[in-house]
Amino acid sequence: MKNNIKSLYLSIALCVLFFNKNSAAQDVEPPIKNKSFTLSLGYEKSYFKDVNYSQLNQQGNGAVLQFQFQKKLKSNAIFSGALDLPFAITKPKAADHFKAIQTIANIEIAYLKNVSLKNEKFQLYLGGQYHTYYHLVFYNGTESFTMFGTNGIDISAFLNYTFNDKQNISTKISLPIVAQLIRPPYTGWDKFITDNYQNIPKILTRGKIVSINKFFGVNFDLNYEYKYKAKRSVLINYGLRYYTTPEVKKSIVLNNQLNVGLIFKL
Amino acid sequence: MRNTFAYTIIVLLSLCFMACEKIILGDDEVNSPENNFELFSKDFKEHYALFGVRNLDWDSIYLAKKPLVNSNTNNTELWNIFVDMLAYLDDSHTFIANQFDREFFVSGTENRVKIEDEFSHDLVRSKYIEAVNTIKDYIPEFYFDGKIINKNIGYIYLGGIGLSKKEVDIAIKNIAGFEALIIDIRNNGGGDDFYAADFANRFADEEKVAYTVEEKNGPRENDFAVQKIYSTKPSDRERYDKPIVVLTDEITVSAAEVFLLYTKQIDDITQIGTYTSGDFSDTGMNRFLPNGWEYQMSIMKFLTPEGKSLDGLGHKPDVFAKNEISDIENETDLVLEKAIDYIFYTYGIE
Repeated sequence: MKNNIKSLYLSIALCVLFFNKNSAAQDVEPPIKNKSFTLSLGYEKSYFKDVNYSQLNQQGNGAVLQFQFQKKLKSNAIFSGALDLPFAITKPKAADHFKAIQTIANIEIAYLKNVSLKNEKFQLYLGGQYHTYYHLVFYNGTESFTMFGTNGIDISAFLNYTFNDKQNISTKISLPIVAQLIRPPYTGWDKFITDNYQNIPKILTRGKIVSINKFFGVNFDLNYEYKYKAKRSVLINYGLRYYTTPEVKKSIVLNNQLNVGLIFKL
Repeated sequence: MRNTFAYTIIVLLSLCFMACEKIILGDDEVNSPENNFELFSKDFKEHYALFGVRNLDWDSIYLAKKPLVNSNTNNTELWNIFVDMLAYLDDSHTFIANQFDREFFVSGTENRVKIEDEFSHDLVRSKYIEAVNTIKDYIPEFYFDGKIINKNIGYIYLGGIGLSKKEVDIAIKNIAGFEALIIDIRNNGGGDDFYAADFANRFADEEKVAYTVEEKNGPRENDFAVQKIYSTKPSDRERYDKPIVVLTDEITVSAAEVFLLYTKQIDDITQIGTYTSGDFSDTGMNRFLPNGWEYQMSIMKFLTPEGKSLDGLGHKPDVFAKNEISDIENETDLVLEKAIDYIFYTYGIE
């Protein structure tokens, strides 16, 4: 498994280097400059197991609010920002009364450089992004809670396929390389939390810088876009966020989300 | 070809949405008496912080109870086994709850009802104090202040440790003119250590180490994080610097005992009453079992500046005094009367 993960990272890193070099030589497309803003609503289905919180597998169902901004730069690169705010009720199979509130914040700020491909219908972009991801679970107020947070850098690839003037499908995959990993203490609670309970940002940024030997994550998005007006499109998005770490105790988080939104070309 | 691609995508997405749990998370914990027992026992062994300072041998009780648990053990039998194991800890910061049958067991509280009846705030209000102010209006019996009748002594009752800075300001202003103060923390169920520190610092005149905390940070009995030091620090808000007596009983617990850790470092504060409960630690997060039960435990060691743990012992009073239930029934609070006498004989204040 570890070798597979290393191979995956290595492949993407080599692609980024290779295509970036290549694109410098072949980048002859005329620059297109545009901006868009997307607002989506969706459904979230999540699974998590955080031994710091509970030995029991947990499942969550909830809603997602998603904002995205994208700007195509003169260089034909993409600058984008995205904010996902899923909110769900999560519980183990064992007992309904263990249901807890799960909130997630996913923030991505990406810079992706265009890589020319021979097929005109495909556009490939490679680059990186700043990525913040927080998965917080609160049971009965704060009778029990846990968190999995990362603030770090991902390598990213974005591939777009244009069917025709009205339709296109795109996918984006990001893999974290280095991040500040935020986890609760061994017993889930400590004096640092009680002493700083009025300073939530301090609690939410207590972590250590780690790399892929201490955590692994995959962020995947699949988008279908249908243009129904010159400056309006409908978006159907499937998003997957997967993270796992052995720190402090084993934690696995998987969020699936299916969103429907509107894209406003600005 | 296009259809194959579309179907593949749909199947993959459906898998992710509907069938990921086992693939991603692995098998869930089995809900059997044996597994519930093992999870519960192991969790306490690896997280409970006070085996050492309370001189407890968890393995011995685990080995004693393990033969009693098998696949035929019913819920009542398993519940009683867990209750016995927690009772062994004698720690009121440790509980188990069964929400299905509305059962709840808190360790170390066997005499609680009796001790509750050895104090009456109604008696204090009706017989001993006047000019009563409620500090928190929505729980008037929990926090109030006043003046001891015919004495130049103020009185503050705290049923918990949860007064905000503003509320403490008001209480201190109310009693500022009196020559001595009685702070009554009998029947005090605790609260937040932050409030305990703020209240105690209203009486502090210098910075002194009050206690240290060591947090459990690993599965072995002696796995603890680096000590954190907590000190008295004279408050820059409303303060009081005249003689003080603090009244305690055997259910003065948790943050109320942390308040005493601070006051023990402040001159002219005397504890009158009985030993306190001896349960200092913050509690950990609620933990969950596959059978739907949940539990909580102590996760820290609190140590005096001399490095001694008072867990399981409590604060020893400077002057011993205790009510019996019959005293309360006869409308006499011997502990409060002892405090009034102590202030007169020690400081000449009446």
